[in-house]
Amino acid sequence: MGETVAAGVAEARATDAEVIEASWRAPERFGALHDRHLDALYRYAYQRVGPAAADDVVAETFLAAFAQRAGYDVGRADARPWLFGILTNKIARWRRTETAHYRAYARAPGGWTDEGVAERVAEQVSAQAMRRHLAAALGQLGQADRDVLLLIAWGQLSYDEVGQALRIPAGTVASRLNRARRKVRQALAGHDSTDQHDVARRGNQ
Amino acid sequence: MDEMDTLDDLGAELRPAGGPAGRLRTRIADDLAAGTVRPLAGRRRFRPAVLAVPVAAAAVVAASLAITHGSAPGPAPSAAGGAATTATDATSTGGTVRTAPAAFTVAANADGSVTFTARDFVDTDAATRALRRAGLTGRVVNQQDPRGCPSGDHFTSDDLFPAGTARITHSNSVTMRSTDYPRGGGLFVAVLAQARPGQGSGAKVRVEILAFKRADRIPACVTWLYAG
Repeated sequence: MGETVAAGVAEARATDAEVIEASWRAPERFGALHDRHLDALYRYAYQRVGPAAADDVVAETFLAAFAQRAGYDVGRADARPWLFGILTNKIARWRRTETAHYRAYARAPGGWTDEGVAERVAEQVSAQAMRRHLAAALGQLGQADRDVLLLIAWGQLSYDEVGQALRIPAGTVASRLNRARRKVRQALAGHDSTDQHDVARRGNQ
Repeated sequence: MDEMDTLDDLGAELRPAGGPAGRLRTRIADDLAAGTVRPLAGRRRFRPAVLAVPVAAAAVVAASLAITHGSAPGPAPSAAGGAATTATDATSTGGTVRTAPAAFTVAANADGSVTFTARDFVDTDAATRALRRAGLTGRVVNQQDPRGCPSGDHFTSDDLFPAGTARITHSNSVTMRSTDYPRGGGLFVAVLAQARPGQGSGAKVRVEILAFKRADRIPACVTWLYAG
């Protein structure tokens, strides 16, 4: 078998930073990076902009990352925050798609995956209603607050990593997160009575 | 249950059932492959003297002109060029391919470099000989399936010159020099099926090269990461 150029065992062991640095001279080495992170980025993009736009957003992200690789700080071994930062910038350009995505979810009777929910127990129905209200609240958050909240909740990034991704201090991450959580909490609290009514109504169906 | 728990639940519900489709992986690989032509630090594109050859000329004529009638300013091209071979079947690492007449040109440039251009799969023996006449040691191969090597010689990234370095052009025309490899070394010149025919140069193939420290380590096949 012919060998894969600049690949192999050594590449599997290399850190993201080493892969990116190697790709400065040998661009094909960059492939290892999307092999490692494509699934996570795609999942996150899919959650935020939906299936129709996720492919475009992720493809644009990797292309931008490739173009920007010369500016990568090789002192950071893990490229995940960097990639999520680029992805976040791409998502910002799809803001309308994103908010429409949340609105569509919020309006969908019974959510997207639980059709026939009327026959379920009231507790499940209530949880479903809460998720719909939460989706509506997400659509109303400011972009910067939503980015921080969702990078932590769905992107599984730490505060420090979110700071790296968005290039903001940790204190700003914390304050945006607090503000986003407070708004979401208020939005959910405002719908408690509606939820109970919804549950009662569904329970009688 | 606080808002973050609800957010987790919502995230789970919005999550895709599976991973990204193979279509997306292929698209990204293709996008990145196209991106490899963009240099990090302003790679200069060399314009060989033989570009004075009329573009509209038929392939056979173009090949012939590149050899004998290059009339651009500066010293006349001195190297041998693409042989006007007849269509023939040739072995490729992806199977047998049909080569086209005069599918390639080899032109010596005024500064001592050599430009190899392929429009189709080539007669590899003729192309290798033409490069040798132009002063370059190497091996030309066709690869119909750039991602797979059914057989071939092993090599490691240390065999490359400089070690671990590949020069990806994504073009159907490459310019090489004898200084691209050390004494005793040579070039692996692959004529690859174009991932998206009609893109870029419009040629159905592209040419990629690897420099080897030792000519006897030049393989018969290389798996190209982004060649899909």
